[in-house]
Amino acid sequence: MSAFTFATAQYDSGDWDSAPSVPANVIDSVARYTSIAVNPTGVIVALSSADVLRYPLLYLTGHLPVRFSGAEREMLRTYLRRGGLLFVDDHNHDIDGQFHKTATQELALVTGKPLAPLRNDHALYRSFFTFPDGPPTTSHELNGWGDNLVHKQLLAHLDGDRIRVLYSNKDYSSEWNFHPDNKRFLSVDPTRFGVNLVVYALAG
Amino acid sequence: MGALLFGAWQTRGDAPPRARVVRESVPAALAADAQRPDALGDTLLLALASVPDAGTRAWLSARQQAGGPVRWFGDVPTAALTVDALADPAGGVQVTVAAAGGTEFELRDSLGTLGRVASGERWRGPPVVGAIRAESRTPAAGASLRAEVPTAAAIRRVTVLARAGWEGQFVASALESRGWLLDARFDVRPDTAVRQGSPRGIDPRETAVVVALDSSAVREASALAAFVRRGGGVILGPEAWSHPALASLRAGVPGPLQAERMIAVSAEAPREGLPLLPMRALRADAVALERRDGEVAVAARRIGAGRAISVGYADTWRWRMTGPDGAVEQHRRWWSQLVVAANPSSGSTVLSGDAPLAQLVDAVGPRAGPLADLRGSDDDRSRGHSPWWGLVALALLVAEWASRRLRGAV
Amino acid sequence: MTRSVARDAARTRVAAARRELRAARTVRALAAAGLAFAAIEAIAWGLAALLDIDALHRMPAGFVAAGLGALLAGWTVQRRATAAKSDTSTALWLESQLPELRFALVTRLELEDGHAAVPALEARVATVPVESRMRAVIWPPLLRLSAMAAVALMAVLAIPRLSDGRSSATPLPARRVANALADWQVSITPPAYTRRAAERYDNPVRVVAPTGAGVRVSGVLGVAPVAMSIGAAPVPVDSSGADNRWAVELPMPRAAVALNATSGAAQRVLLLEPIADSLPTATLQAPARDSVFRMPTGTLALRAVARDDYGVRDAWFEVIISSGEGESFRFRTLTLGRRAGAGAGPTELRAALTLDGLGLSAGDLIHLRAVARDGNTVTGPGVGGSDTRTLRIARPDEYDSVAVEGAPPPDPKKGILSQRMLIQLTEALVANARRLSHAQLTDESRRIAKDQDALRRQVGDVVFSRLDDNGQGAEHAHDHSAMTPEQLMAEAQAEMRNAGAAVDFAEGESPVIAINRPLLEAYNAMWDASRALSVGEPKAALPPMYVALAAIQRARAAERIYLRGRPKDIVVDLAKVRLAGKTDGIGPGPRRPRPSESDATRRLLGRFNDALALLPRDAAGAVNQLLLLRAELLGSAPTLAAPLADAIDALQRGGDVTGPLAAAYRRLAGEPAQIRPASGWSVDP
Repeated sequence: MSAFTFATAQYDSGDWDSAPSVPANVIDSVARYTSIAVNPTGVIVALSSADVLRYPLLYLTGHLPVRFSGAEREMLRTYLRRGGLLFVDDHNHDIDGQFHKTATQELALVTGKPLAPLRNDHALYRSFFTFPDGPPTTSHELNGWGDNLVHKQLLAHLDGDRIRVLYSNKDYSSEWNFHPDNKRFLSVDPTRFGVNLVVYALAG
Repeated sequence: MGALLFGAWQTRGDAPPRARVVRESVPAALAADAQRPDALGDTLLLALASVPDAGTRAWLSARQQAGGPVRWFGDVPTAALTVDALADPAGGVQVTVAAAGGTEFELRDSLGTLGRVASGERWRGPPVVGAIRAESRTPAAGASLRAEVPTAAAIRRVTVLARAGWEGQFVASALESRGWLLDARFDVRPDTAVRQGSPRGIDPRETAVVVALDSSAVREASALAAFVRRGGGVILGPEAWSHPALASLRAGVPGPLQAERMIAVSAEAPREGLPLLPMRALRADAVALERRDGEVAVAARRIGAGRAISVGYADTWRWRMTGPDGAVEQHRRWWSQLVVAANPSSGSTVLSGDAPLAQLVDAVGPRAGPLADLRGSDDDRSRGHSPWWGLVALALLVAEWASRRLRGAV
Repeated sequence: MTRSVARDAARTRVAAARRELRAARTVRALAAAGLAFAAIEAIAWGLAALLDIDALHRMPAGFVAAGLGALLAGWTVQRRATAAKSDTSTALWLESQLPELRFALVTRLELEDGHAAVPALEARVATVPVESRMRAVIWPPLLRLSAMAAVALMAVLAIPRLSDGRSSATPLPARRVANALADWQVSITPPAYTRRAAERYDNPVRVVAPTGAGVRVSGVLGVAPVAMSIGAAPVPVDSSGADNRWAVELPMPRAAVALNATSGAAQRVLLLEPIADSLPTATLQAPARDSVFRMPTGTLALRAVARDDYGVRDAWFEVIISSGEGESFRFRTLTLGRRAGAGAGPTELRAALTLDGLGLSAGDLIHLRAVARDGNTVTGPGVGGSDTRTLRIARPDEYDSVAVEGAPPPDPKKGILSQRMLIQLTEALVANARRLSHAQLTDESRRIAKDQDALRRQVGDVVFSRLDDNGQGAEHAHDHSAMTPEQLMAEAQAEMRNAGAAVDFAEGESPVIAINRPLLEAYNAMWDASRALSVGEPKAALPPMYVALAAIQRARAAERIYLRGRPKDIVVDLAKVRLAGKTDGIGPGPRRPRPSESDATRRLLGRFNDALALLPRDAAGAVNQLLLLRAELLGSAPTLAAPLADAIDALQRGGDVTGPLAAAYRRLAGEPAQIRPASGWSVDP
C-alpha cells in the first residue's frame, strides 16, 4: 500500500510557499513517533489540478490575500466531498490580516457556510498525543506577535463530527517552519500536533 | 399349476386400465376426470406446450398421489426466477432468471418496470415494492414468473485490521457508511493502535467478516484461520494474502506487482488503473471473481465452514478519490458486496420464486418419451402379464406332461 | 218596507261579517307565509354555520324554498279558515263567538222571508252589536301575528346585508365556517430588490419564492381557532380581523420549512421553499495575466464584467497593495472605477490603474480583482469577486522570477490536459495492440498523431503570441506549424531581437530561451511523438510524449510567480528518525463510528411508504407527510427532493399519480444495476 505523502496546496493568489520547511518537519515527526509509512519528501500540488485528489490531507498557508480561482474553488469542493481534509494555517497569526479575512471568506464560499469554532475536546486532540486543553499554543502567540491574541480554539468545517476543513490562526506555519534536524535543541517538539493531524486523517 | 394360479391371481377381476391423451386444456381434463369415479385408474398422458400453472400442477400432483398415473411429454420452455435478498445493510435484491440462452426478461415490481435481465445475467437493485415479476416477450420462452422477496439475513459485525493509512481509513468509512457495524484496529506504532469497538476477539458468532488489509493482521494469522474454519469470512488485501503467514487462506500465489496506471478512471472500469498484485496458480478450490487483463484480481475459496476472499487491488481509496462522479458510492458498494460475498451466513438467505418446469417435475415426475412409446408401454401394461404367464404355464404343463411321459418310457 | 228592511238587516250584517272575515283570513295567510319564510331562512343559516356550507343561504334554491314554504303556509291557513266560506258558516262562526244571539241569526237565515218568526229573530239580532264584537275578536291577535311576521322577515333579510359589510352600524356576530383550513389563500410579495411582481395562490401546498419574500396565508375564520407552527416554534395567527378571516404573515426563510396549521381536528401543511439569491460574479478581462514590472511606472487598463441573477447593485476594482517580506507585511486597500449596476444585464467596468501614484517600491505586490455587489437587502448584500491578478514590482536582486511584463504566459491547463489525454489514448492503443490488426493500429495511431500535431501547433503559437504581444502585433503573425524545432527556435530568436524589450532573464541566456525553453522542449518532443505515431508506432511515441508532458508542467511552474522561488526539498532520513521520538503523552483515543447513510435512506423510505399507505384513505394527510419529507430533503439531499415535488404536484392535480410516486420511490431507494457475473460470487463493477 502506498505511503502517506504530505501535500502542500499551491493556489494562484498569495504566497502559498511561505513555510517551505513545514512538510519536512511534519514528515520527520510522523516517522519519529509512529510506524506509519510515510514518504521522505512532501509534494506540491496545484489546487486547481485533479492531482489534489491523490492527497487526502492537504496543507495550505500564506500571508497574502487568498482568492481562489473558479477552478480552485470547484476542485476544493470535489476534494472535500470525496473525503479529503484541508488544513489551513494563517501564517500571519492575525485575525485582522488579509490572509484571515480572505481565506475564511473563500472557504465559506466553498463549503457554503462560515467556519465554526472546533470544540477543544474533539477527537483531533486525542488522536495520538493528548492535548487536553485543545490546540497547543505557539511561541508567536505567546510573544504577542500578530494580533496579540492567544487563540483558544481552531475553526473548522465539519461533516457530522468529521473535520473536513481545519483552520488555524495560531501560525503553526511559523512554529513548524524549521529544519527537522534542529528538533534536538527543543525540549518539547512543537510539531507533535502535526502528528495528531496526520493520525486523525489516516485513522481517526 | 402354481404359475397358472399366480397368473390367475394377477389378472383377477381387473378391468383393463386405459390411457387418455390430453392435448388441450389440462384443467378441463382434470375437471372431467373428477366427475367419473372410475377415471382415477386411467393414465393421463399430457401433451404440453407450456408448463401448467401452479394450481394445475398441484392438482396433478394430488391425482398422482391418489393413485392416478400422470405422465407428460412435449417441449415446454424452461424458465426459472430466483429472488435473493442481499445480506447488505443497504438492503436490495438480486434477481436471477434461468431460461433458454439469451432470453430477455422485463422485471417489474408493484411500482412498475425495474429493468431488463437476460438469462445468465443477474440484476441487482435497491429495495423493491411487492413481489417481483419477470416477463419474457419471446413467445418461445412464454414465461411469466413471479417471486416474493425474502427476508434478508441479519446484519452482523465486520472487523477491519490495517495499519494507519488511507486504505484502511477509506475502506472502514465505506463499510460504515453502507451500514455495517464496524470494529477496527489501525496500528500506528508497534505497541499502539487506534481502535474502534473491540476487535480483539475474532469469533464467528459475533463477527461476520474480518477485512485484513495488510501485514498488520499477521499476528492474528492462526486466529483468522480458525475463524474461517468455524464459519467466518475473511477478506485479505494484497499485502495480507501475499504474506507467508496467511498463505493457508489465500487463493493463489502472487504474480508480479502491476504499478498504478496514470489513466482516467471510468465508471465502467473503475479499478482499471489501481495497483494490482495478481493471483497466479489458483488453488483447485478457488474461484476467480474478477480478472483484469487476463490476471486474477479477486478470488475466493471455501475453507471449512467459512470463506476467504483474496483481493489483488491495492490502494482502492484512489478509486474513491480520483474516480468519476459516483465513485464514492461505487467504492462503497463494491466493498460492501465483497463483505456479503465473504459472509457465509449470507448464503442462508431464503431463495424464492417460480421455477415452473422444476415444480412440474417435482409434482408429476420427469418428461416421458414420445407419445407412441408412451401409449405402447401403457397399452402393454394395461393388458397385464396374463399372455406371458399363460405361455409359461403352458410350457410348464407341457414339460410336466413330457416328464411324466419320459419317466414312464424309461 | 219596514219589514223588508228588517228582513234584510240580518242578511246584510252576515254579508258584511263575511267580507271582514275574508280580509282577516288574507292577512293571517300573509303573516303565516312571512313567518314560514323567516323560519326556513333561519334554518338555512343554522345549517350553513353547522355544515360549513357557506353559500347555502345565498343560493337561489334557498329563496325559492323559503317562498314555496311561505305559499304553502299561506295556502294552508287560507284553506283552514272556513268561517267565510258561506253566509251560513259566517253566521255559525258569529253564533259561536256571540252566544247572546242564541242562534237567532242562523235560524233567521234558514227561514223564508215571509215566515212568522222572522221579525222576532231580526229583532233579537238587532240587539247584539255584531260588528264591533266581531272586530274585537278578530283583529288584535291578527295584528300581533302580523307584527311578528314583519319582524322576522326584516331580521332574515337584514342579516346578510350586515354580514356583507354593507351596514356597520350594528355588527352582528360573524359567520364561522366549520373548517378554517379548508380554503386558504397565499400571497407572496418578493423583496423589492428582486423587482418581481407579487403573486397570489389559492390553496397551494407549497410555495417557492426568494428568501425574505413576504408570505401571507389567510382563510375564513372557523368554529375552531387556527394555530400555526414551524417545527416546535409557534407562529402567531391574527384572528382579529373585521373581515371574518384569519391571517399569518412571515418572511420566506433561508431554508425550506414546513408551516404546520391546525384548526380543531383539521391539519394542513404549507411548504415554504426559498430560492437562494446567487452571489454576483465578476470576470476580470484585463489584465489577463500576472505580471512583473521592473519599475512602478505606467498605466494599466482594467476591464471587467459583472453579473447577478437579480442585477448588480454596484461593482468596482479592488486593489490590495502588500509591502514587506518574511513575517512583516503591510497592506493597503484601494477601490477604483466603482459603477452602479445596469439592471439585470451584465455590468461592464473600465478603469485605469496608474502605478506612479501608488507609492510602490521594489518587492511590493498588487493584488487586483473586480468585485460586484448585489442589491440583496435580506440576506446580503452578496459580494462576488473575480480571479485575482498579482502584479509585482521586481527587486534589484531578483533571482527567481522569469515572468515578463506584457508577455502573458499561455493557459497551460488546456495543453497539459490535452497532452495527458493523448498519452492515455496512446497507452490504451499500445495495450490493445495485440487485439488489433496492423491496419487498425496504424489508423488509430495516425488519428492520435493528428491531435498531437494540433497540440504542437498550439504550443508553437503560444511561444510566438508572447513575442507578438511584446510589441510586434498581429502583422508579425506567421504560420509556425510547419517549422521544425530548429527553425522555430531561430525564428523566435529573430522575433525577440526585433522586439528589443528584454526584461528579466538569466545571465548568459537569451530571453526567448529562458521564457520558452520548456515549451520549446515540449514542442520538440511532440514533433518526435507525432512522427512515431504517424508511422503506426505508438509505443515508440510514448517516451517523447512523457517528455512533452513534463516540459509543459515545467513551463507552468516557470510562469508562476514564486515569491521565494521553489523551496529546496528537504529529504527526511526516515530510517534514522523512525520511532526515535519520546513517547510521553502518546495515547490515541478511540476512532469514532461514521453515520450510516443506509440507515438514513431506510428512514426516508419508511416515511415515504407511510405516506403511500395513508394515500387511499387520507390523500390530504399523505400529501402533508410528503411535504414534511420534502422539507427535510431540501436541506440534506436536494437531488432526492426534486422527484417528491413532482409527486406532490401530481397528487394535487389528481388523476393517475403512479408514475411520479414510483419515480420518487426509485430515486429514494437508489438506482438498480445489471451485472454479468463471472461467478456466483461476483460483485458489481
